[in-house]
Amino acid sequence: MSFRQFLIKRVLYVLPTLFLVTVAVFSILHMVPGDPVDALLSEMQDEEMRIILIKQLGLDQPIYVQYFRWMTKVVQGDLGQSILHNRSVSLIIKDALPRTAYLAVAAMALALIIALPLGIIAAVKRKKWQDYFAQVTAMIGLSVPAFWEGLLVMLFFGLILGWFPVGGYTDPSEDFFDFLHHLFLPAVVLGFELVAVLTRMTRSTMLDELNKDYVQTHRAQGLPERQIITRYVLKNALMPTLTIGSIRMAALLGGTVVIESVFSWPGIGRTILEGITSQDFPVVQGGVLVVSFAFIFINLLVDIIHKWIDPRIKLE
Amino acid sequence: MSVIDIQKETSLQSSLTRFLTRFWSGLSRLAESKIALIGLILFMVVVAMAILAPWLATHDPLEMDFLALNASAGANHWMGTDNLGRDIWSRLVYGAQNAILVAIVTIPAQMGLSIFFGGISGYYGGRTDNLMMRFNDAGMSFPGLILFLSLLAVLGSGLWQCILALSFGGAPRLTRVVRGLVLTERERDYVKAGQMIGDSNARILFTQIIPNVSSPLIVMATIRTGGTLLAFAGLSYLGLGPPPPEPSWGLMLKEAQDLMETAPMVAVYPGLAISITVLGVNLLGDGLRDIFDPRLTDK
Repeated sequence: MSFRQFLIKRVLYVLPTLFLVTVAVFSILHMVPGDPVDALLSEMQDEEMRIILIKQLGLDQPIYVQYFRWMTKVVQGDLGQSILHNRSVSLIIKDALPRTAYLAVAAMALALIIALPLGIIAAVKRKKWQDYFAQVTAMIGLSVPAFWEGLLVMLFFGLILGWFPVGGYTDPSEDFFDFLHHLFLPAVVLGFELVAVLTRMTRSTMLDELNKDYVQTHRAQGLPERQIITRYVLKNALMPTLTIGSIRMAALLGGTVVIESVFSWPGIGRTILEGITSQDFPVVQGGVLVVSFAFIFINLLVDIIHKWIDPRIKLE
Repeated sequence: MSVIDIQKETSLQSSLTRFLTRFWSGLSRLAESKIALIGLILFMVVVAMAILAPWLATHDPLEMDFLALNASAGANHWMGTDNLGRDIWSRLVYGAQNAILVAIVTIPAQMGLSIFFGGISGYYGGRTDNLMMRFNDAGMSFPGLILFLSLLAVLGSGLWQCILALSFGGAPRLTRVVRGLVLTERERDYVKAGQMIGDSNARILFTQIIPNVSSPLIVMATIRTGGTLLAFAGLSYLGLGPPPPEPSWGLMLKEAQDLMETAPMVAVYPGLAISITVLGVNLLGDGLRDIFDPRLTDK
């Protein structure tokens, strides 16, 4: 099928999932034990105010009407009002989301810079010390809880050595270098698990490629090993890694919750968490909705780019 | 072989026997992989710690000794005390109980859910498969902890709430895997034979197909255990797990964070405990994968 057909099909495929996600997020408020009315309205309202507000917010309507009203507002960019902060949820998210994005992108970049060379070297020097070192590092990265890493890193580099600030955030527009200074540690910690995954993946795909016939042919023809790797093997090996890796990178969005908590980074993860602990449901709904949509779209983009680069991939 | 013999073959009893035989031979093959053995030993140490907690602990984990606040490691308190004078070693040992409980309940629950839904989806295919996979994809659209957080927003926080959230939240990924495995198995001859002699679909699926794909399933489940334990630790750290003063490793790390400047060592032990447990499970999973499914081997 042509690329255009694939594009249309792939986008259509995503629509039911988006719909189900909106239903699930909408239901959060209604599945909480107790009256959703109480969840949204503060206890201090007197009975008359409650009745007025209930009518205003449409909470007396049947559930599908409420869903429709909610979706209509969402599509227009209105995610409701935060109970705790008395601010528009959309504005809160508009502030928080970019901060999480900075963190995720920085973590991805750092992870790629470390993991790709590490995985390649591990494959090339298979069963030698570089290989074992890379594998052990990867195994540790997968087993150690990120928030513990964060604590230790903050303790060592922040408190003891004083090289980096102990948590917090500076806006890049205010002071770019201070922003980077605050960004570094949380990005490293967030990226560490990704390093583990990408290293193992790179090593695996490299070893697969190195076993293929064309490599033997080139060797027999007398081509130097380094040239075989850089000219032919790398391209083929890195493609699957980057594809699957980019999906894992999108999953970083979930990992930010804990890191943002450890480093007091005011991103969307922390916003959602605060919403949960303070029962500020509009914030929870808005935040989860935005993050899931971002996740779905990133995966969609990755799929499309991958298909564009390598047309041999079939739509599953 | 008569039809009756064939039906005896596919009875629940014989499929259970087959599963157990395979499990036992798998266990003895475990010795083939040093990595799996090391992982298993590490994990068993933690399980032993959980079971023997009442005997291993030197103090009551909730007992507060106001004369020994923030004590460093010594003869009376092997790992020191926290800011409320509670013995860290004892809290660590009892914290293992929560971790092991989560592992023992959540993973079989995830497997049960995924075998049921993934099996039906893969076996029947068509519209059923389409519909179920859409729901499944929706479940997988919430990245990482966000899904568990959303579930806990509804369920509230606590140990069993976490177990519920982790069981349901972790199932979609496994469901996809089961579905894929069943899809492939469905085309095999024995399935067609079973259908021809009139076996019910449920019987073929659950007594024939599922046991045959149990090896990669067990490998995946083991590998997922590590992630589940890390997620539980994370949820505890965020304050959504077992409430204080109950000891849980993640929460102990949160408490340690507030003490970081004065008593940094308090942060080391719970983190080590989590890491060692997860490492054990990860190594076991890697080793099992090497044994059972060479196609997935990491070379």
